[in-house]
Amino acid sequence: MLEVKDLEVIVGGRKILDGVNLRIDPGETCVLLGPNGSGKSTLLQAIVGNPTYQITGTIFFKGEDITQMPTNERIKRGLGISFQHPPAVRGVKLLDVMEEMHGDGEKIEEMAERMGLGDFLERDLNLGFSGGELKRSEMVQLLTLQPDLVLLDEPDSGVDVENLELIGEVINEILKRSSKPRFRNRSGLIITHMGSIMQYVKPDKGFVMLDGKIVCSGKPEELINQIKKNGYEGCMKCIN
Amino acid sequence: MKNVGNANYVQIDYEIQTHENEGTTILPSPEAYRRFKWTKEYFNEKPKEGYFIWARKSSDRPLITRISISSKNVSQNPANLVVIEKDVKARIYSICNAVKKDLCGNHVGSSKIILKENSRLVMNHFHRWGKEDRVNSGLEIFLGNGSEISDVYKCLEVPMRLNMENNIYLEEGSSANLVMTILAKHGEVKMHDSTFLNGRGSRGISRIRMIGDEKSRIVAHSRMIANDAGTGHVDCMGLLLAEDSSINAIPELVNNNKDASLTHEASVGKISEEVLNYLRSRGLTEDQAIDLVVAGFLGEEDPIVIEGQVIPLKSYM
Ligand SMILES: Nc1ncnc2c1ncn2[C@@H]1O[C@H](COP(=O)(O)OP(=O)(O)OP(=O)(O)O)[C@@H](O)[C@H]1O
Ligand SMILES: [Mg+2]
Repeated sequence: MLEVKDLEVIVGGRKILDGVNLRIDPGETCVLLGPNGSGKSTLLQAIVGNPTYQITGTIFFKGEDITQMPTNERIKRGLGISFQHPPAVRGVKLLDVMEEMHGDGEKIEEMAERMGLGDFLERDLNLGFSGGELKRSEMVQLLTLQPDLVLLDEPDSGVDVENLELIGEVINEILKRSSKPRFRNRSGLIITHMGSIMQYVKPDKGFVMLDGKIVCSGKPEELINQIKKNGYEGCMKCIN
Repeated sequence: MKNVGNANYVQIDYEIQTHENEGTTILPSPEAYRRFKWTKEYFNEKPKEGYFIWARKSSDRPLITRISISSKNVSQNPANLVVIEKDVKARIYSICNAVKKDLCGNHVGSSKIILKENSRLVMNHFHRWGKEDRVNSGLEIFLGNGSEISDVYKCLEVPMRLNMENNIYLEEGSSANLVMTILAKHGEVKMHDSTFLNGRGSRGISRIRMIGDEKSRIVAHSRMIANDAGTGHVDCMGLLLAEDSSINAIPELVNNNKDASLTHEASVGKISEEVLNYLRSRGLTEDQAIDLVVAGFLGEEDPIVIEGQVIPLKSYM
């Protein structure tokens, strides 16, 4: 589904990603762990094609080299992302954006209601949304988009218990996690700090990013327990 | 001349027609000047053309005025007077345009709006001009005690040169909400508006939305002047879409009363890269993303509705 090879990303003259290699198979869902500032969000943004990044290396999606492709083309091919900090878009309504994504009217309302955002369709996108509302607004947009590879940047940060369950349910639905593993064809990459989303979405694999590199991969539960116990310092000791 | 969309005052080049609504007198200004002596107090000089609207009773039915240029080298000079009587509520759509792009018209308009005590007016101006036109417009609004106006001006096709001057005077407890939206492409726009808070408890808001596209210059000077204990807010937002466009936004607050409170907000710039990137990540192309942000910035069309029927603005233009 996704293969990232020797990815280097320079942002504003600074090297943020320093040779990232990563592979996600069809049907596979992975979590990405790592300390603040290690480059997790940058990796996701690079995969969808943030045009302000200076990039070397290659990104393959469904076997196609998408490294130089404009973002909208990547989305058309089945990529989708939820932002850690979605920007406010003054004057543009949540409904407008969902309509642009070709969602039909009735469905849009139904999905918004389900995400507790029925009254938000007519509001300016992300303007004055609370932390949890922002996360739900990102999810409802992904529900409309129905991507084959979902990149989720901290979908669980700042979300209360009930909404966490709701978000988990929606992620599982998009990823078709209820189908048997060999029938699953959608993949996910989820950034999380505390792993709270893992109560609901059971990932197959985990990666740890330190200082712009993926330094380790393994069973998600084990990785997160190690990190919770020994911190990322423990990771550093382990790899050195 | 057929009466499109039940307009109450139609002027095409120099030809004029009027149609009254119940409870409202609508006349060409020269006739009003002759018939009603009291109007002399409001007209600065003897009017040559323009509309006179005198609303004596509230009505749900909006009033519509249309002044169009449809031939080459027409020079119009309308002097308009709107009087809304005490406690009366009214709504007016005022349309000014050139029907073709190359008519080299000249439009010099001056309007006065008088709102008597506790009256309410919702006024929508739609202007659309050709590339070779020149337009000067002056508007004065006098708000009596407790009266209210919402004055929305929109011009998405500017002439070669557009000068606008608005002065708003507020008495005790009155409120004025001004929204001016301009999209300039191949043209020069100068806007000056001043809102005078002359009465206790008066409230003024002036919002200016401007978009500078190819070969355009916009200067917007928006002043809020407090002479009594009122509240005022000025908000100027500019969006630059082209390299050869410029916007000069000058919000100004003048406070002559320690109990008044005045605030302002202003920003001019291009669409943020972060926002474009976000919209692109939803599958929009660069152009679609820009169009969406621009449309959002310009705000929604407020459709003209007469007796439940929506009349497209186009039919007046
Ligand atoms: N536009 C930019 N200009 C300069 N530095 C940047 C820019 N964007 C990101 N960075 C820097 O890159 C580093 C990695 O940022 P990134 O957002 O990818 O971290 P992260 O792993 O997602 O962290 P967090 O867990 O806090 O979200 C940070 O030090 C950040 O300050
Ligand atoms: Mg991050």
